[in-house]
Amino acid sequence: MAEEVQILVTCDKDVVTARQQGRATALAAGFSNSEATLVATAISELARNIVSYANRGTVTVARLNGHKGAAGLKIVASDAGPGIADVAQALRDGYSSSGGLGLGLPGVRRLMDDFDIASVPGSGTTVTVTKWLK
Amino acid sequence: MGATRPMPRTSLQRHYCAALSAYLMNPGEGARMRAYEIGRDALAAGQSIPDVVEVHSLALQELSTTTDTRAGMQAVIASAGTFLTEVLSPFEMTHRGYRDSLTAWRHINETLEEEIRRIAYALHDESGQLLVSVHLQLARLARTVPAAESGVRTCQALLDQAERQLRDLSHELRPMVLDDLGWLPAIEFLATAVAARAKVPVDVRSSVTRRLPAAVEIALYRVVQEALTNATRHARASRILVEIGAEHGCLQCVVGDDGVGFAVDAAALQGLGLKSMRERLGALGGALQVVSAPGCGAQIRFELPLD
Repeated sequence: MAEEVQILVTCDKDVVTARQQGRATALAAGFSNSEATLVATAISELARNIVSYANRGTVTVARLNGHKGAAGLKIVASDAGPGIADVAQALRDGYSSSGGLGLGLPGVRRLMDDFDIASVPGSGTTVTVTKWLK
Repeated sequence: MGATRPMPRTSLQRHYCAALSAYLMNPGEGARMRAYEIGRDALAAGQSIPDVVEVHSLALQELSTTTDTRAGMQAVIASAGTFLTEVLSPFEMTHRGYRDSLTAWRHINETLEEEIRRIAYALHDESGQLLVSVHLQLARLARTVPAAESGVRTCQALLDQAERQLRDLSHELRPMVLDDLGWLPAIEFLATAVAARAKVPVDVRSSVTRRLPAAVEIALYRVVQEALTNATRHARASRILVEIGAEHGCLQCVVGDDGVGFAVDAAALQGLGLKSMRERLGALGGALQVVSAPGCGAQIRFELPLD
């Protein structure tokens, strides 16, 4: 039901690969060019966090041909970095370098339909986001 | 606005031109990511979308000289559009964030108004009822203990006073006429009360009479209330006029007086409760303007979208 591609992310070049994969999968799933661009943007934001806080991690892109006709795309960004002590705070606008601009995790949440984050201080963070075809 | 700009326009211009040129040469994901990074940096540096579009347009003009065929030009224009989409995509995150805040803001206002309504009704109905019972008990006491009569009368006078205060407070919090009859009778009622209290005639003229969305009615009432308070407190006016109309799907209201006026400067604008008025209107997509000069009266003009 899902075709997955996993990309190891350690540097900017890998982020480019992850974006490319996300965009190609979005277009194949039937998203428009501008929606595919927002998917690439979400991947950039997630991958940027991996590179700057955990040094390495993975981005997995999966096309969902779900039951009952629900189709879309799922991105899982996972790392074994320091984790986030206060997840609620990380999701608030104004946290970290993005200031009050709503970039970073809050931005990703708004670009996608479903957003899920699991983080354990000292053992890593996994962000799972889904965008549904409407 | 006043934001510091670590990346000045000239630097943005240079980066932009180089990145767009690279993208036109090789339109791959790497060049797209660079476009996104440029947009993100420009956003963080306080550049606006029109800033970015202008920079884009200048870069495009500069690069368009590199091709002289019609087909070449069409290809450049199409690719440049894709590039600009990437540059602007970070702005979409911010835009959606503001939209969310606006929704939350509206929701908070509604919750607050609901809470105020609850308190107003409790004061008016429940406490009012209680005072009525006290009145009855006191009357009975006066009958059974004739010696207490004068003391009871004093109590009754004080009770009447308390009742009046409760009623005024309840009305100030939430005029029930607003819920029952709508915004226009409520504003007329308010104008009469203000006129009686301040001994200044307050006229209300409106070309709109229909009921409006609840949130708009409350905002309209509150802002007029605040504006009337300002006019009676500071203006030393001999006449106040509230005028309401609708144009282009917008409700327009002017609260004007013929009083002493003031110089419209930052200091004057701070003390007039304008912040809360602007916040209230802003949550509904409205805006407010103050027009005044010493000796020329003052006008508070505002509008509220009606959709």
